[in-house]
Amino acid sequence: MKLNYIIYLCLIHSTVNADINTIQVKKLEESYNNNVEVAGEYLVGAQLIARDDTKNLHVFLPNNTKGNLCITLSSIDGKYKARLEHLIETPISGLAKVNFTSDYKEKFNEYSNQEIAISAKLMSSCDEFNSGKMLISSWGHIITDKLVLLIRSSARKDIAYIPDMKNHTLKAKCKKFRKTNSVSYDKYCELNGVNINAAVEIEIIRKNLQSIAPEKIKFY
Amino acid sequence: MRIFLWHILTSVFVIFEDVPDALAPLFDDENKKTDITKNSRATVVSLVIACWIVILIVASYSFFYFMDRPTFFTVSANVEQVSVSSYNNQEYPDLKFNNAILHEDCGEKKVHVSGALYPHPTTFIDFLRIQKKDLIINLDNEDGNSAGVFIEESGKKIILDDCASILVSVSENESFVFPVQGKIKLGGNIKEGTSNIPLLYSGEISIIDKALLTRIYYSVGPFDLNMGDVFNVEGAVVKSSGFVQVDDEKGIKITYSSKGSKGYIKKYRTESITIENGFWTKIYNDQSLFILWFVGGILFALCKARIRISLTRIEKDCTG
Repeated sequence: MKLNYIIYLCLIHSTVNADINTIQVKKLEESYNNNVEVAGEYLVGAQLIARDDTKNLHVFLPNNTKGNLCITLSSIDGKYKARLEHLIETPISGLAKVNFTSDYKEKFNEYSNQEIAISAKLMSSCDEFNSGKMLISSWGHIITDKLVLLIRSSARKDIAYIPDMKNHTLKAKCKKFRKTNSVSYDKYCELNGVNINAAVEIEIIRKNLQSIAPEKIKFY
Repeated sequence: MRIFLWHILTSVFVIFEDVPDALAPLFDDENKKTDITKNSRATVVSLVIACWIVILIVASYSFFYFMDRPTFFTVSANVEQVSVSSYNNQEYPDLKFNNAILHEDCGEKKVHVSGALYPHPTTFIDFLRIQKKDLIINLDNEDGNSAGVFIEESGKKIILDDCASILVSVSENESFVFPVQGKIKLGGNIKEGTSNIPLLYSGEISIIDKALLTRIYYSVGPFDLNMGDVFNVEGAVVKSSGFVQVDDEKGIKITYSSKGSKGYIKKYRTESITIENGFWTKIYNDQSLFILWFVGGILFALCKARIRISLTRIEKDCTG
């Protein structure tokens, strides 16, 4: 049984590896300092949990993707920030590894995968980052079906769900990060059984003793 | 082997002697020994044993005293947010209300309630009061189960959703007290880009510990808590216990005691301050420890002097 499982994992590993495109990022701006800077946006990251804890950045690109890939990385304590830009000239599809070398490798590696949020988008210009659809990302290539949304919310209750799915098991109550110093974002919503190949929209219902408009997050 | 062991055990008492081999007379050839040598040797042996017993007693007392024992904190503060979570899933104390407003599911729907609240042990409880506004008690059970039960004075039982809020309006000359037990965190994290952050206004923390010999309590501190700080105790060994009080003054007053490995004062944009009753604070504050070491030192010096006298006698006896 164990042997079968290992063979299965190896097969997945080799298959996934074979299909991965690699993007070498040319424009990288990053900073690490105690002067915490927080943009104040609601959704800070959307990433799938990976079985391999490699800190290798991956994004899932729609079919024949071309254009500007814009990625921001934000650490939960607000100290590390990075902005990556890459112009995809030759169309690529599916899982792509985004290669970049951090100047703050030691500090960067101190964070766990959920302590650095990835926000990836395809934009005509990366200066308009706050608008547009999200790309699902991951910190490894052996991905699971668990999607984690990293949000900054002062609501008393946030519930993430996929509106076009009747299966309400795909509903998650967002939980607070209670042990870490959460500055950039303070809650995580973990949705299980997400099909990344289907275009999805996630809605987050918010409750705060009064009505708050739900947040809608659109993915490619 | 026995002589070698004796050499080691005794050498500590002649380690700073001018004589190149101060212990040589003690281990000289048996045939040369007279009664004086034998008596002096017996004195040295008994003194060495007695001294080592004293050293071991002082060292073991000190070792256990300095071992990583939990620190006992007493805290009093004026804050806008007190966060409580259960210690090892132990029950919370029940909270009594009179004409409070219950927001079920943390939404708009509300009912007036009087009675007792029994929070579920897996529920997180936040006491929140910005300035002089209403006190809000937020209950959040993150696993999605009921946050607790509210039993009204009429006996009606309200099973709460996973999220519930209870509002208590505090009029002039009114005061409410609620017990708190569990793991307690004071103050809210400062977040940029938002307003209305629940702050800690002020407070102080003291460390209480028992003196090594007298077993009398002594106090270390107080350590000040300043506006915007966040305080919590890590490595709790028992649940923290205390109470919160709200009246017509701003915020929430809290006093509680806690026992854990370290206390952390987290300051905005700078490193945290760690509070514990460590090696230096114990030495500085516990006079009985100083007395123990002083007495130990005196005994050591006396033994050393007496051993030196005996060794001189043996030396004279052997050479004479």
